[in-house]
Amino acid sequence: MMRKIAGLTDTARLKINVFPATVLVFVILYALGFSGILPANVMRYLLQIFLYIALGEAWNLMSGFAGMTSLGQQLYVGLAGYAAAILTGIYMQPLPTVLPAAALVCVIAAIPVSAILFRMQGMYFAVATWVAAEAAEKLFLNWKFVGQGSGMTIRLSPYPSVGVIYLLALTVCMLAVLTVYRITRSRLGMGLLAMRDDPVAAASIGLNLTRTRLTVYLLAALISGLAGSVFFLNKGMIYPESGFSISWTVSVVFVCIIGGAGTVAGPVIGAVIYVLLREYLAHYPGWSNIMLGAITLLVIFFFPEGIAGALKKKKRIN
Amino acid sequence: MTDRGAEKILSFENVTAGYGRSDVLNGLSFEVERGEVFGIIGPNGSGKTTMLNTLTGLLRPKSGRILLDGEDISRLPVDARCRRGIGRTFQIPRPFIRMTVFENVLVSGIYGAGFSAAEGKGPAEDVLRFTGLYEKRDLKSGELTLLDRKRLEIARAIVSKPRLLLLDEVAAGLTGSEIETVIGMVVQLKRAGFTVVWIEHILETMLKAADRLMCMAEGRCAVIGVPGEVLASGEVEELYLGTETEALKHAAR
Ligand SMILES: Nc1ncnc2c1ncn2[C@@H]1O[C@H](COP(=O)(O)OP(=O)(O)OP(=O)(O)O)[C@@H](O)[C@H]1O
Ligand SMILES: [Mg+2]
Repeated sequence: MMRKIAGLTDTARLKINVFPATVLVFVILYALGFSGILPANVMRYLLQIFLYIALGEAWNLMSGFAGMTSLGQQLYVGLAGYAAAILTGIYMQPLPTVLPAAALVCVIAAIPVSAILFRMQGMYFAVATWVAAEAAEKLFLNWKFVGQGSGMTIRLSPYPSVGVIYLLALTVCMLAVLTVYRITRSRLGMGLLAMRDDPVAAASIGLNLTRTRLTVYLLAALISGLAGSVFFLNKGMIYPESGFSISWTVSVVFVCIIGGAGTVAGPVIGAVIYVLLREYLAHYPGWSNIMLGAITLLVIFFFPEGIAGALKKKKRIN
Repeated sequence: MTDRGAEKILSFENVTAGYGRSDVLNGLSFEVERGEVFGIIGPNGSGKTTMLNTLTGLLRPKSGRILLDGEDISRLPVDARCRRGIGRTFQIPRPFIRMTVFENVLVSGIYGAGFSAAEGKGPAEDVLRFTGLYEKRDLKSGELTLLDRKRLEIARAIVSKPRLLLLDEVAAGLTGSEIETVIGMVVQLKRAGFTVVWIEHILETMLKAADRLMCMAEGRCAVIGVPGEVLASGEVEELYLGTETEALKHAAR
């Protein structure tokens, strides 16, 4: 009986409660950003959180909703970082063109890459995404134009302040959350869940697997690229090892698993925990990876659907 | 039983297909007429499911043509064939296990018939009532029993109103009264205008619901005709050597 009342009505109730609350939070965060009352170090924490949320939503869209587990989204983080460095350092482009152009570079690059990756599925697909990112790292390490191993600096004058970068990160975060939220409530969102559960049956009910996978892959590349360009704008420089590092995937998987893969709220919760925890663990060098690993295992053991999943369940039982 | 000169909806023309290098279908040819229930029997491994996979596009024929209302569909991808009006069930049910029963059917209507979520709600509820799943519509489909999973297969296949409905052993593993229910459903679907291709080992279902019956053997059409005559034929008897033959004769009487 209980379960019957859950289901659709439950999501309907969530929709009513969560959406205005989310909008309110974004309004407050924008107001804080524009007012200039936040200290710089607080803004730096927050913008990290925003960017991990965006990366988490992108990964979640692919891996959590569509069942296309990726270990290689750093390909687009690094690519966007380099695009930002090249556009500003070599072509002297101003800030407003940099972010959209960097994202566009990612989407354009994602088309041929997807053509290769989509020949594989499941674990092979996951490993292939990683290999693609590794290949990009090797390419940039040997490419004179981008400074090889010594990397590139992002040159803008005046260089955007923390406040500006905060607002950019917040905007990217908001775009990511709203996009994924909209998708989960759309025709495409249902298709993704069907595809994740059974691609053969999904094709048999009329779903175009290639088109659906491509849509998701390009969207994830776009969001990861936007986040990546702001990340490196904040850092000021990029190296092949920092741009294309597997540690991006490690962090993002942590964010999604802790928060809850396959939910929109999951990466939000996960990113907050991740950034705070990382700061805290920085005081205990050497322990940080062990602790992150232990926490991941504990969460997988006690809340297999992440914190967002556990909260949802609790709400349903009440 | 069948009208003379009835319209062909489906033709298999000399189709060869298989997995890897070995062929399962060896020059299969047959035709299905619009509005009929076309039954298919045949020993295990005779290629019935393989025929269905070739028809729906999971398998590409190595040679031959498959015509749906005169159009050669044998090179189209799976989803395009669905949107051309081919709906199927899977012999081993393949529900979207983390979605509810209702969502399973809705998503099929959305992609197969191009419904919006709002347009799809009514038809989805209708087919859930028709298949007896309405009360269970909010259950996760992974929690369903075998019988209900088979019902869900039917519901998901008919919500888009396919012009050709393919049923692969939907009655297998069910009890006597459940089989009667399935027969009733198919008869109703036929009345509603569906053309049905129904693969089933349970001969009673074929006698009661099929207009014509094909017996497959080694990837070919061995016998085709009115169900009673096909089941009584010597060839079918030979194919089903052993205890089953007595049952066959009995059923055919
Ligand atoms: N995916 C596959 N890969 C390789 N061989 C297969 C595959 N599916 C079926 N076969 C083989 O093809 C032949 C025909 O199988 P098919 O499933 O079409 O038979 P069927 O007539 O549906 O039998 P049943 O009555 O048992 O359902 C069998 O020899 C089977 O082993
Ligand atoms: Mg079979």
